[in-house]
Amino acid sequence: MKIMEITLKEGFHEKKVQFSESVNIIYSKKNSTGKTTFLRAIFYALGYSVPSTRGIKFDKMEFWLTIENREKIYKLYRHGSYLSIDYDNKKMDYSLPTDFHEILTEITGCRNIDILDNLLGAAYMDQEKGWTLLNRGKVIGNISFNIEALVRGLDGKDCTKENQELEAVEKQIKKYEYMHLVADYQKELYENGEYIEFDAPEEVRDIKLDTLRVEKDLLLEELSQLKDILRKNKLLVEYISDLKLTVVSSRGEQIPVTKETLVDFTDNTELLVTRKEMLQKRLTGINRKISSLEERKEKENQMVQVQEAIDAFDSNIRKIKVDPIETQRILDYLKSKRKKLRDHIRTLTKQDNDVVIELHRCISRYAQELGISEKYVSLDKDYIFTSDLKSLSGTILHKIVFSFKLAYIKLIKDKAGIVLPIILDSPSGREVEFNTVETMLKIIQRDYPEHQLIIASIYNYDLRYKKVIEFKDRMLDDTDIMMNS
Amino acid sequence: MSDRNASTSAFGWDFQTNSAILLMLENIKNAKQIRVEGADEDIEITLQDNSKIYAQAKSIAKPDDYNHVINKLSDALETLSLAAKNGDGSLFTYVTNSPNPFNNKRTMSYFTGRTHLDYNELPDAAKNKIIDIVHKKGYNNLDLNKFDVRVIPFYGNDLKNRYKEILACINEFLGEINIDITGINTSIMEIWQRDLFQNATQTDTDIFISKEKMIWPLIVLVIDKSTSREYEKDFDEDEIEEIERKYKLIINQNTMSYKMITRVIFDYRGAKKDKKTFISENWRDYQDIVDKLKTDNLTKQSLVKIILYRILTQRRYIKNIKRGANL
Repeated sequence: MKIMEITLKEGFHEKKVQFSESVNIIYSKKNSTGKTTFLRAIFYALGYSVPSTRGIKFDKMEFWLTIENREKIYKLYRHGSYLSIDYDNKKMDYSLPTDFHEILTEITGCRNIDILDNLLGAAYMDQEKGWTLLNRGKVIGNISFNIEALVRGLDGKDCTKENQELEAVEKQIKKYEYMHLVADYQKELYENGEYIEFDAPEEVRDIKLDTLRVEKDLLLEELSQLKDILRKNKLLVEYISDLKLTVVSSRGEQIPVTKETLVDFTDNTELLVTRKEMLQKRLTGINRKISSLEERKEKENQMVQVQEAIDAFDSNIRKIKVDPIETQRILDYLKSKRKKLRDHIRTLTKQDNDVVIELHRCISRYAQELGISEKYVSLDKDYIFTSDLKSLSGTILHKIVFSFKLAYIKLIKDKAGIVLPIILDSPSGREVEFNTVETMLKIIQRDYPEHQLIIASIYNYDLRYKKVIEFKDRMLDDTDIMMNS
Repeated sequence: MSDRNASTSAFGWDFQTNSAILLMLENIKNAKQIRVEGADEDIEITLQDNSKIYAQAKSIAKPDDYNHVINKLSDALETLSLAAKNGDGSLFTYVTNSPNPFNNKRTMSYFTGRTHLDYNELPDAAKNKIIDIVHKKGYNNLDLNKFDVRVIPFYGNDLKNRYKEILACINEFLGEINIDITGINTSIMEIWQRDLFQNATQTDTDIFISKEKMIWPLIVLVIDKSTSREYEKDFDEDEIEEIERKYKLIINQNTMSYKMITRVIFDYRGAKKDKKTFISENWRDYQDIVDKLKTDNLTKQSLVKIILYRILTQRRYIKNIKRGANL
């Protein structure tokens, strides 16, 4: 794959750059002329989510990029989240970031996501992180490189299920970490003397209020009925009394019919009156509870209104029920599960994987050529998965990183058929000696002649077939000079 | 006097309230009315002959703290002596929750558990202590032959434990009037505590609660709980619950209406049958009360039977409890 031409447009400014198929040096005599931004613009035009630099907002610009792959020409246009590809008189529209893998598949012909996701990390060495990015980490912004995924992809291994599980566990860990943060925050409030009160949540209070209101309605209904019965009983007995009846007992005693002499009337009335009083007392109790809850609700509403934002936040945090011990226990469990899953994926990746052996062989060869002692590049093939970079000094680390990158590029070509351009940003920066860089570049020219080389630098390296693209001042400056040699 | 009427701690009020319940139940047959935090004493029970039981309820928060028991006894004797001046006291009672009310380890064994000792039954050391206080302080109005001491174990934050003896006393009373219904003891205790406690916080010291006002809530509770229990023997339990819940207002309407009550009682007397036979043979006579209901005939039948059961049983309970409390 080769970058043939790029046109950048920002408002009224436009810059068109044509590339040589072999060696390109984006050159400026001084720093801060936009070389890095220019390289990133190429990736952005390819569909990558590249963050803007130095006040240049990629998402406001337009990009036209022509690339060549397997003797086919692809014309890409990108503006924000929109990207189109013109190829073989066809025009395809894409929306980013959703269609990112589809775009790369269209250009490279590769469908393996594990490979596609790691192309940039293999091909590009950023001036900041690139020369220390050995086998896993961030390339630019959130674009990552992961050797396990690449190796899996190149060997055609599928760990989708395991990766999905890992992703789910990681999401859970993130959530529990947030929960744990809440618990820590609560602890801090507690330690500062701002007591944590697990107030009944508003929903619980409102449900309680609703229940009490229903209970109240039922009581009122019962009370109303009771009063009605009492009234009717009284009317009945008054009616009977008004008739002024007199009855005779079996012993011949004459008894006037009044409410006092009516059998069971007094008892029944007493029973109803007592029942009514008991219901009224219950009603009073319920009304008191309703008032108290309503008062509390009102107070809480008022409090929230007058509270400063931070107080309201603290108050809400206090109400959240988090069990710190349980959260920690779950977190520990999830982390251990994550480790097991990662180990499992790693084992699956390494098992019977020829790519690992080939990568190791290739890395060792280049490391040796660059004069790296065997004590740094271990004989063990698992060395390629190392996480131990601390023990490596600057120059040695750069040489090893370079060896790794070349090995990736070679394997990607051999296994996936993608001939990646090699893009180096300021290789002579930091602790890397000029001579070492020249040696590295010569290796590239010797072993990777099919690969396009793009170097951004303040040095005009002595390389064959190079095209120098000189940046005078700013990236979008018309005074740039192009030279071929 | 104002000091004696001043509000005491919640625990002190609680003890007073529960001591009042206990004293009222012990004297239920003769009592007319009760007052807590009365004008002269903490508890005052007026009897049928209008004489009074004056009681002083003094509590200590920790049962093993004997430091203030003599002071409390002395205060109680002072106010009881003042009350004696009224000339209507038939009994003067000192109620405490201290297991050592005379701060004398030799007399402690007399006061284990719930205790009631007349002055004459008290150990000599206790008698001597009382005489000593009465003479020294000049509480001469108090006739010690009318004086007694009650100890009620009453302590702790666990209310179940604190009210253990009060519940036991209520159970004794319920046993005397043949009431054996689960949960009724706690329900009535809570009602009495609420009524008497509210009373204790009143600043007007002339309010009394009559025996009727204390006993009728018990009758309501017993009727509500026992009638359903009785007809559960004859009907399916779930069916009863469902009908009672769904037709609560119809049941209330018919069991409380005097017209309906006299109708049933009249027929029942005339039929000269036992309650169960009367209901099973005569329930059809009352179908008119459920005619308008839109439900199946079986439910209507059950509903009528429930109403009849309630009317006939509630009458019996009212009579039994009234007799038991001499109401």
